[in-house]
Amino acid sequence: MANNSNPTDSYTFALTGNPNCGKTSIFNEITGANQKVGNWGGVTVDVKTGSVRRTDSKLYFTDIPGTYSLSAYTMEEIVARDYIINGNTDVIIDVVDSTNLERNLYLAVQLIELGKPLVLAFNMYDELARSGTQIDTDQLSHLLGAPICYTVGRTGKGIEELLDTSVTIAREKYSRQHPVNVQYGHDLETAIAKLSSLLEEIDFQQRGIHMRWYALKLLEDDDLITQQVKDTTGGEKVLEEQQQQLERIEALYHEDAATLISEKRYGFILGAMGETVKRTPVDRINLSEKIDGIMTNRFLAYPIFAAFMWLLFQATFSLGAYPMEWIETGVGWLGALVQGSLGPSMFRSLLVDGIIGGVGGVVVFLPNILILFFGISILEDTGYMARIAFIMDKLMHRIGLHGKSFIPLIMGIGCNVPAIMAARTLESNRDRILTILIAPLITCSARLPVYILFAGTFFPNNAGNIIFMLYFFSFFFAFFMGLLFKKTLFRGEEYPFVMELPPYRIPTFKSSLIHMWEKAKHYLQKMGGVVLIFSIVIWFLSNFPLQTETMSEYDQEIQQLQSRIELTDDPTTQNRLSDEIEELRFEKHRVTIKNTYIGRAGQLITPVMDPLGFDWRMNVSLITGFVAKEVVVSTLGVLFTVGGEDDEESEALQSALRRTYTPLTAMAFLFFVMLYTPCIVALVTLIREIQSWKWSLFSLGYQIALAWIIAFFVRWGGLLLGIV
Amino acid sequence: MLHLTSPQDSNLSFSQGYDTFHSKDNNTMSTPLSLCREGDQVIIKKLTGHGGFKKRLLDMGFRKGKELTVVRYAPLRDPMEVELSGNHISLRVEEAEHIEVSDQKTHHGE
Repeated sequence: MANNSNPTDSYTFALTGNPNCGKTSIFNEITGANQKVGNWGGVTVDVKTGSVRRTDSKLYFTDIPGTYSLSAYTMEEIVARDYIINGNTDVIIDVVDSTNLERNLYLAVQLIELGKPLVLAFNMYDELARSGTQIDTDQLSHLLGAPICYTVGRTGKGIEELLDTSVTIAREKYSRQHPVNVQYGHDLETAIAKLSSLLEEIDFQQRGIHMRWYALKLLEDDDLITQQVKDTTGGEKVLEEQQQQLERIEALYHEDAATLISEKRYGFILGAMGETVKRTPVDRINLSEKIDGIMTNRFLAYPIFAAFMWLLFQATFSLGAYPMEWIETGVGWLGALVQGSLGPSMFRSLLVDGIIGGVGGVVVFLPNILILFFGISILEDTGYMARIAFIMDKLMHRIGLHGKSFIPLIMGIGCNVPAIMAARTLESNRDRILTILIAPLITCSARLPVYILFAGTFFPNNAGNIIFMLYFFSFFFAFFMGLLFKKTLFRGEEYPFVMELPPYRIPTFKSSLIHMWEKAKHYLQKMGGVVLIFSIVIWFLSNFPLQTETMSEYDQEIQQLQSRIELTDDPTTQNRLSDEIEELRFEKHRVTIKNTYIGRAGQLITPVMDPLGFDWRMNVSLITGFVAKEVVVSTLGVLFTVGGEDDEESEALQSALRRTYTPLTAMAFLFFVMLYTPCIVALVTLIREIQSWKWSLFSLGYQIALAWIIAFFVRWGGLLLGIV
Repeated sequence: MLHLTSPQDSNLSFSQGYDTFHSKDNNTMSTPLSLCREGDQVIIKKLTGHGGFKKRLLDMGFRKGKELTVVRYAPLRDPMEVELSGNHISLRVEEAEHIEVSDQKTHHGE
């Protein structure tokens, strides 16, 4: 590095490249864990930024989504192109899979045409060298008009040189590079020239991009650029010319201009490679193909997939149960500590029950999310995820989903929160929204206590079958709603499935860890605040209006009994009295909860829930169930004032329920619990991931409506059939 | 489910189509990629799709004159996996209908 350079120099670089070119491992290698995930332009597409300090400069990097070309088709590609065009970068670094030059250079050629400063990182150079291929680097670099650096992202080899070159290019701006143009032949060139000059006339946005590139985009009939030209004053004239030229070329070649342009680009690439790349013929049946012979084998594919899913599931939820328990203990300990160190007050209650309880409810899912995303990142980095899509697509396509949607749905059995987050693996926004919409219908583990309580109470001989049936129906409704949404809301919006099956690779531990850390940070940052507010709201609703009088009456009575215990020495009287105290405590709890806002709401919605056969106690428990589904059980325990134990095994609660409800009502209740909104954390996750209030409200509304309708049919169907 | 039938069942439409283009020796004939079998090596004649789908194919390297191998069908016979200059790409059978390939094919392996 030159000594005279200013030590406060800072440069920004955008890392681009095809999917699976090793771009992210280069990004990780450069920036380490010093990364931030942000969204670009309000869409759920991750754009990661990171920085690195060098002796005389600070370098900022953005890892933009992988893309095959600048056609901008999926949400990811639109974001990628938008960033390349509008992002404030000094140099674009195009990471090229050097073992797959032909297709990877297709993007490079389009970047060259943009005219922005560009550096090519020929990645996976070790594999290229092993295959015996030789490249005349100077000549190829000259033909492409951009410097070429060789890198091995997995080991970090060549990255320092890449950074040096990139900084040099950033300092010198354009001076080093000579313009290179693909020649498209006389007819296309005429069209390009005409459109360029017209665009020039209307002063179309430049941003350091060659007018020629915009003209090419118009000839490729690019929707977004065409729209932008339309929105520019005088744009109609350009679009008229565009239509004329498109028709002229179509008439001349019997082929659309986009296809011709693509062919010329490939021609240019093959020409450049022909002069500079010397390949040794390689054995086509490589290791990856052998693995695929097993992984996607007609008979073995599903057993293998099921085994992997089982492993992922067990790791996430069984292994994750240990740290979850520690977190719960920790939160409980913190709550008790605050409880003990502060006098009884509303503030203490807010702190302990509202804030610590609420935030604890978020943190407790962290182990699940960490393990699940570690697993998912391994599935993605090895390349197996694409195979899952390959073998599951036929089934998932039936309900309008992508093969990859299977993972979020199956993970929903454990918990809907990571399931909704796992929908991020889907590339198209439509698939993602559809998956997120139906994922909450899958029965999560928090709903199981309710199932156990009701199935065990009302159908003791068939409890197992009933629970199995509920799981079956939850999948049935998820698929059914998926099909319904596909047929109604998402008609004709299907994206092509065309997808690369990348070669299998061994993932680096570092990148899996970074991936996991990213998700965890993201989860805590995004969820923490909102769930905190929701927890405080719920706490308020379940404690207010204050019933100081009623409460102090009970407290006085308890106090009196307490003092009587201390006066007597007779153990039977003592036992009787403490039983009475216990009884009073529960009565106090029941009376107060009935009069809180939540209790009143439960009574208020009674007319709506009446057709389902639910009474106010069921309604209150359903409302508190928004906090978490297992709370339904403990609320019922409180409302039926059964002493001591209020879990799903409680004998007292069971007999109380049996006295109050018919098996049919219980069944309707089970279906309602199965289908309505899982919990607040899931809802907040959904709002954050779906990024649209319209869809969030729709999701909430349809789940409640579906739950009501199905519970209604269960009850009235049963009544009509004569089941009581 | 037609793809599950063996070419011997000549009363089924798929096999008929398959036999027809195999018996023709006119090499200008083309057939949709969706009718090819595992192991077939064919040459792309034309992409008949439109808009974004066609651009997607072009971006992935599908183009006239390019050689392509049908590697396998998924266990449920859809989607299919093809190889195109070393890249393995999966696409749905209904999408493969929009890729016209030469009927001159060499069948390698099974």
